[in-house]
Amino acid sequence: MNAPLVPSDPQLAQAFFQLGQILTSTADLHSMLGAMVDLTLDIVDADVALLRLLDREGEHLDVAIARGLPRDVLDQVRLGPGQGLAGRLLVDGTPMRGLNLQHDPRMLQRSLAQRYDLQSFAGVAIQLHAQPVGVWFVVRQRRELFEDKALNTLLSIADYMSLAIERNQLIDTIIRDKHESETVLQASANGILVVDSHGRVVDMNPALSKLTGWTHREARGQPCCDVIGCHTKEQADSAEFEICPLRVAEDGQDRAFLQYRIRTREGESIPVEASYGLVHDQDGSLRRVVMVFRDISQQEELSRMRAEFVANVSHELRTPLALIKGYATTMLSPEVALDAAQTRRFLTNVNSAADRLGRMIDDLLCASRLDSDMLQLEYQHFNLMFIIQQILVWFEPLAQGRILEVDLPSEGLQVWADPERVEQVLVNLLTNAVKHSPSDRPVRIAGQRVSDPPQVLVHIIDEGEGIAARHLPHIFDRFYVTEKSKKSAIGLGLYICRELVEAMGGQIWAISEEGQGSTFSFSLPVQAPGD
Amino acid sequence: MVESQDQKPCVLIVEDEDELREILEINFASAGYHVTSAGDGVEAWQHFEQKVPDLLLLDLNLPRMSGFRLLELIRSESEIPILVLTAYDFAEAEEVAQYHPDAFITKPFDVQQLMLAANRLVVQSSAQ
Repeated sequence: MNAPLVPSDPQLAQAFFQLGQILTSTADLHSMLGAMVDLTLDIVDADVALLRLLDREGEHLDVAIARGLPRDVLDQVRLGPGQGLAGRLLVDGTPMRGLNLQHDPRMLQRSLAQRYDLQSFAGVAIQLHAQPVGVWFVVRQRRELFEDKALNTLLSIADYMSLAIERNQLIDTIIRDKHESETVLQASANGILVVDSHGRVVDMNPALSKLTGWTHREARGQPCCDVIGCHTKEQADSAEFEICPLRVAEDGQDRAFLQYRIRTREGESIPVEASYGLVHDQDGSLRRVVMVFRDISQQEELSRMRAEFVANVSHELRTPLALIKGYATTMLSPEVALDAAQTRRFLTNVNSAADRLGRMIDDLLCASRLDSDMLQLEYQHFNLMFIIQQILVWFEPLAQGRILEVDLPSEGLQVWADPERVEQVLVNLLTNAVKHSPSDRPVRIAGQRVSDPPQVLVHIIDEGEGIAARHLPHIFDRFYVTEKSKKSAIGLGLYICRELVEAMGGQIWAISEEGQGSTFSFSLPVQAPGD
Repeated sequence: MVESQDQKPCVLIVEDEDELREILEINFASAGYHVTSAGDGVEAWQHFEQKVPDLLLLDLNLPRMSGFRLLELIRSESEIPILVLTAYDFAEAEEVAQYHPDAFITKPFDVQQLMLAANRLVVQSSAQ
């Protein structure tokens, strides 16, 4: 690109002054180029002008500006590099001029030239960083050759045009990039915070607003330590909270996947995984620190629950195992003499402890199958009443003296379900009722048939300690144990009940008040879906 | 047998699970101990205040008053041998260690080994 020169000719000097104004007065490329073309037509005393720019793919020279010629006619012929006068000029790059456009063999639209009486012409290529990006022509409707001065003017204007084109491309790129990063910022599920070199908040995204409780507007300009609860350098001795972005900046290194805790506006501490990136100015000085936070409280809660679960399970498995071992080693001890009745009772207890172990292992397997969707249900029509009566026979010793009251309709309770799984649910609920109620209070099992939709409801009612309101919404959650049952539960029983009942097309719920006993109910469909 | 008929050693068994408590009672009684037992921490403390036993067999997981609290109370008054029964893991073992129990037995346990440990504690403490 030639450096535009300021000419000594007063008319030209005036023109270049106008060019400067054109370049600074608008950001729109089309109006800039149009103004340049109009200005040039005046200076070089031409009647017609045509500016073609190479399209994005570099395949066609599209008409950008036309003066004195109808656009639609021009658009009828698409020229590629090397085609026609314009295409050749683009490839060749050498300025051209001639006296008779109508008879120029390189011209593809000679009829057009004739119709508009186009005669003397001059054209130059527009180049950007030594690459051709377009061409432009001026034409006189008379046979008067364009002077050297005119050709030079065209060349200078072409340089200005390439300046304008380059600026336009840069702005386009910046706007597109900005739009892209803005979209990433807004749409990201991770919290993003941008701070300046003094640690003041420049920008934050909606995800971080949600995480911290600070709105974008409130946070702007605030010290980042206030917004995300990190410590300043002076306070950083207290270890855990030390990764203030300013301290990160001191290292001059990006950091990724640091475990960290954000303190929210409400003072809550949220575990996050944090990554930091530094943005520098061209002179190397720090401009921005960009921080990305991923809320990992759910993972943390899950792993805490898993750890607690493993601890509970091993404790729970050990308890019946301790009984089995205790009875067995007692019976083997030469020091202890047992009569036949005692021996028999011990063995009965060993047996039920082994059963308890077996049931726990069943629960563990069942929950694991439910989790992986591997549980097969075997549906059939059956009378739920028979199942309940069967359970009562063998469950009675486990009720440890509690009276088991039954309230079932005489016509029976026909359901469509998997009888084995229904039994599992019933035993689970009965075991809970016994575990959480005093031995002198009865446990009641009631069944009823309801219509609309036709289904059977079963209620297990105890008069025990009940469930605190804060626990009630969570008791069917996996691994959920209350402080009270922590030592004797693994948080799977009710979870399994819910999963099984829901898999069979029913629902399960509990009504309870602390100290007032609990009622656990579930529903089962009477008919197979579609019957 | 830990013997001498005139003065049987006294054991206080604190265990909330009925069946396990019965197992312990039978074994200690067969080994010649005078057995007192409790199913929760409060009941155990009452027994302790009435009569300080020669040996305390203590499950940590107790209703009403935890085994930890009971341990703390008893250690503030007495240096009797204490045998802790636990189904807990190492973290809890560390916590309980500050009350200087004399031995740990982890559930499930072999009753005969438990009796050996108990007898040894009683003999050692009476020799001091």
